[in-house]
Amino acid sequence: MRRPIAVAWVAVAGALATIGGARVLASPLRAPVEIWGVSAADRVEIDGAPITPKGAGARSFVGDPVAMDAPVLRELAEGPHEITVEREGCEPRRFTVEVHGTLKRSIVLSEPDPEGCAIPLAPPRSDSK
Amino acid sequence: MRLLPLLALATAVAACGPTQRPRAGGERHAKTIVEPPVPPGHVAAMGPLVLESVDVVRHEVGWDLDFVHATRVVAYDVVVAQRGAACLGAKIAGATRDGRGCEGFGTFPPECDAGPPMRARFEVTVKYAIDVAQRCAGETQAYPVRDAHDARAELTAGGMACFRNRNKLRPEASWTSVYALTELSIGEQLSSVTSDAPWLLAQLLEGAQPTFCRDDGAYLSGRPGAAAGEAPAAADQAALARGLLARVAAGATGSSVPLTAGGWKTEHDLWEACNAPQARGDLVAQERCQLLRQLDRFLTDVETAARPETPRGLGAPPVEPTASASKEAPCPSATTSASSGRLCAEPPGGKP
Repeated sequence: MRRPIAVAWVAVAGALATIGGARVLASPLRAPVEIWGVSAADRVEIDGAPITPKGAGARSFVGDPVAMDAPVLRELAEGPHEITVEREGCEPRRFTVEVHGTLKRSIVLSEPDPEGCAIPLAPPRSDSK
Repeated sequence: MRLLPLLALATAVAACGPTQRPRAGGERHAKTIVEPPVPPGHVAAMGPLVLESVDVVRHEVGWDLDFVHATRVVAYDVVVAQRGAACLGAKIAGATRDGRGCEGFGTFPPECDAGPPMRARFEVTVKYAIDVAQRCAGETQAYPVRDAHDARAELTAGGMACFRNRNKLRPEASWTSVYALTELSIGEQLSSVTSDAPWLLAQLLEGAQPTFCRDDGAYLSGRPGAAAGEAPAAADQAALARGLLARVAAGATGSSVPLTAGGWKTEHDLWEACNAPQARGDLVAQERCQLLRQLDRFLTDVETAARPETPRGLGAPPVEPTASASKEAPCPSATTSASSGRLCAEPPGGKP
């Protein structure tokens, strides 16, 4: 009776090890992505997940900026990620960032022009008009 | 009745699933532009599209392959305006057609009553590819990079060999730092220009002919002005990127630091260029310099690894680092090199 149990135990352990190994092998590279130029009043989403930008301690992208000073700092897996930024009085902005390698990637958003940022994108061609 | 439990289960599953809340920002092109009304006895007419403003809204930089290939992205907002008019009569003479086949007036005739300008925004994304090559100072060949996924091992091997070969059997106090021994070639090329209306933007930036329609043959409001279909070929991407760059506020993107214009410069010299006040105030230069700073930290690791493997020669005891050390000062130890980072350069006697 002991032998079948031992065999089963080895099989389960082997399966777990295989799953664990596969997870290690499949774990993608990750790299920090920092977003500068946003404030705590702005709404930021990365891949649909809301993020509150850092207020106190956040700085602007000047000199030799330290990642920890960025209003938004997230570690993202390799590949494309969709970022949405909503600022008061402005049209929301959505863009894709491609993450590669292991070193930090910096995104610097300009100070919004209060008039220009509220102008909508050109509407689609409307053949029914 | 039998279906009731299934229905309840389906409802519960739906309630537990991912919620479909509206995405921030809604769909693209969600808003419409309303053209001025046309009273009875009048016809609608359109004036030329006018480029109102070009603003940089986003910069981005990062490596695609660490220390070898990087991408720099500049996103622009381009605001375009167009006036519609109501013109008295059934047909107004003097209209012209643009390259897309749309009809309009460069200047409205007196029988037209122009409305307020309509405005819409176009987003343009310009990508630049940054290529970095490293070599041992004075050599002709760059360090080879064959691994398309991770260049660290090959670059580390090249940097360590360079440090060892140039410093071996010399007194440690006179060793040349890896920052001074590593020469870089940094080039930047336009990679792509992405926009919904490249033909229109090229027309407006050139400012040659009056243009009445967008690439899709519609006026700014979306009302068709010509048959749908492909727009004429836009000007080349480089011209479009240059045109946008020329329109943005001066001083935002003029720096070429730390590019090497096809030549080679030591990492140390490029670092100095990045730390010049002019470069520190220029966003584009700072973005490129961020790549250089990441490379600099990598070189610090290379030197730290190479020092124990480098045969020391006989000579004067190591010089203690001083606060007044200049960039010409020798590199007394790995600690000094790594911590100061910038003070170790060519020894007074030059390279061996």
